[in-house]
Amino acid sequence: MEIFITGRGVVSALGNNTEENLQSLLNGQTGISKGSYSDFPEKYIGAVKLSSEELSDKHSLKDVYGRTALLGLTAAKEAWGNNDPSSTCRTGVISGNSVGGMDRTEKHVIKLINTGQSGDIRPILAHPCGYSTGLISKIIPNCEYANTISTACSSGANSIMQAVKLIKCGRLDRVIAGGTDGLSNFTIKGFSSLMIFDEKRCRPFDANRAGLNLGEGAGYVLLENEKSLRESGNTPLGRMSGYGIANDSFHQTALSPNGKGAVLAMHHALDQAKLKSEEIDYINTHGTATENNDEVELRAIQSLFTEKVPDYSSTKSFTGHTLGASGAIETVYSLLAIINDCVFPSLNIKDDMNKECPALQKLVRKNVSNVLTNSFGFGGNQTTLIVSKC
Amino acid sequence: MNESYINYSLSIAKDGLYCNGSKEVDLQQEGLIEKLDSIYDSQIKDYPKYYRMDGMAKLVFILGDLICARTKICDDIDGSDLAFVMLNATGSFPSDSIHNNLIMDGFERASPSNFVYTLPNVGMGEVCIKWKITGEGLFLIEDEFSANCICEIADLFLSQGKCKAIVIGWAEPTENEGNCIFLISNKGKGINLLNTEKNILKIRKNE
Amino acid sequence: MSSEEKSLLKSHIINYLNLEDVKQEEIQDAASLFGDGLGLDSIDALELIVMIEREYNVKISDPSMGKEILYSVDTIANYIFTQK
Repeated sequence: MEIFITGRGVVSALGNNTEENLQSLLNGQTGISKGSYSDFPEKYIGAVKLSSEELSDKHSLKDVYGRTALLGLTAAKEAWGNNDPSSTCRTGVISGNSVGGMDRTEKHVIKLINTGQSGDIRPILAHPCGYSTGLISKIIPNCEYANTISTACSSGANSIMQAVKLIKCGRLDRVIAGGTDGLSNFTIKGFSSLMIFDEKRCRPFDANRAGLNLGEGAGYVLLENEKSLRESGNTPLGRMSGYGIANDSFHQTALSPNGKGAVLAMHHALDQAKLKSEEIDYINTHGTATENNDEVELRAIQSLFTEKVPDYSSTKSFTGHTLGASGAIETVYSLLAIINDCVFPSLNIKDDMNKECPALQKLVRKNVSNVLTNSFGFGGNQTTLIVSKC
Repeated sequence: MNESYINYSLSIAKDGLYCNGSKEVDLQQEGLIEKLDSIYDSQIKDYPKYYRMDGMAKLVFILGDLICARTKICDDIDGSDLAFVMLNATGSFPSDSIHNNLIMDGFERASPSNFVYTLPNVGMGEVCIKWKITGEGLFLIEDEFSANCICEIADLFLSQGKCKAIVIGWAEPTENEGNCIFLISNKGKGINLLNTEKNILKIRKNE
Repeated sequence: MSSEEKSLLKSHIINYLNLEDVKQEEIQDAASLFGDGLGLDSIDALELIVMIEREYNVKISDPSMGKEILYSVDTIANYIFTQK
């Protein structure tokens, strides 16, 4: 059974819609800047260039909902586009995130402590991880099924994978699937305690990489089976041809030295897509720019792609690490690589981590038929998706 | 879709730990954490890292570890063929609260080990490390326990042919009872319970 | 550091790392805390860095220095002493 991608939406530090993101990628224009998140002026962060107020206005909502929900709504609306409700095709939403409405709740709690007044409780109601999924499902007519997935940095990718499963087993015909995460003090202070930030712009696959930059955003795809495609008349943009998920079973946060979970996930995805390794034209890596991730991820790639390692890069050098949204945003970027026949570079490399097998540092235009994208979450959760041309 | 079977079940009730519907461990403690610590001390005791977990991770670990130990599922099938899915309503609430309190008190640094537990799937990771489970895994958020959801997801995973069995459960640290876990597979006809909403609910309520 | 101060340091280590099943007397001054010692890992190392900053007002800003400094109770005590 083919799973077609007929819609896509993304909002990130690179832009507020897919076209803006694409132009930034094509022009090598990073979205990461110092002070883009005002509470941490010294940090390099990939913040979306819309305030919560502006995002709320965009959706004609009162400014009480967390950024995760607002960003999710923005990208999901773009992916859904002008599709009509269907009475014969079963429709669902699968969405992943890690932080829920925390950016509002953390401010609300401080206000409550300082004033003793709880005031408007809508930020509290919008706190749970499932809230953004519910908000998105309201804009999808006849939405009869919704799941929220929270597996750290692989949440968005796992949501897309879950959507593919639900369509393949015949439970649903079309699904809006993806992930979203907004910035919050909670997240930034947490990652600070892990001493995992680069003081400058992150340098995935550079020999002197020093950690990640955080980002925020949302990415969604509209997936349809053939029955739904016949009814909608949509033009397919690409296909979800394979997925693989495995647990690294090694450590809460670090990857195992031989990347066994990553190897398994990529292997399963290739197997399912019935693709040989040499048929992959580009790998959009997890590439967080931490010492451990980049070293192990490349080792895992090399152990699987023994003939030749495909062109690979990390677009987190453009957007920052968007956590629960990253797998979904990078799926959209993988789709853009296919549609535009080009592969995107990694920015900021001065000294290649691996001189024999360096990451791509310039945009390359070539035929792109199959893109593999990795998302690795804490807790050992490793996910690989393959996007293919129709 | 093929029928699937509940091969084993565990449920933590107010008064005890129930295995396959029978009370095996008496639990007199009031709070969930005290119950969990008591279960660990009497039934497990071989994973010192347990004491350093937060409430959510302890709950997931106890449920996951016990079901793997009692069913010996990791002897029967390869770790890559076992899927592991957990659900709850509040995500990683215990550690979220602690982390928030820490960052509000004015001190620059939060606790890194607590922050890692602000991801609800990390407790699952500990079970996977101990039992070398490398199969598919998910953590889902649902407003409330749904037996239908548990059945459907188990069937979804089993029907795709990528796993031979699934460990799936509900781990809600804000609830003092009703946390449960199931081993479900396509094997077990005539011996084990059919994987149905009714049976899942019965087990959860210790009926 | 006096043996009383070292004792306090050990109790901080136990508290911050939630080593509920470990008694102070079991932590030897010169023994390795990581690997085979108490079996601590990289996250525990970060937690110890937070502890040292909070309890002793001594910063370790480069985690790669952590390996040497955090090797044992003695090396931690020496580092704190030299920074104060």
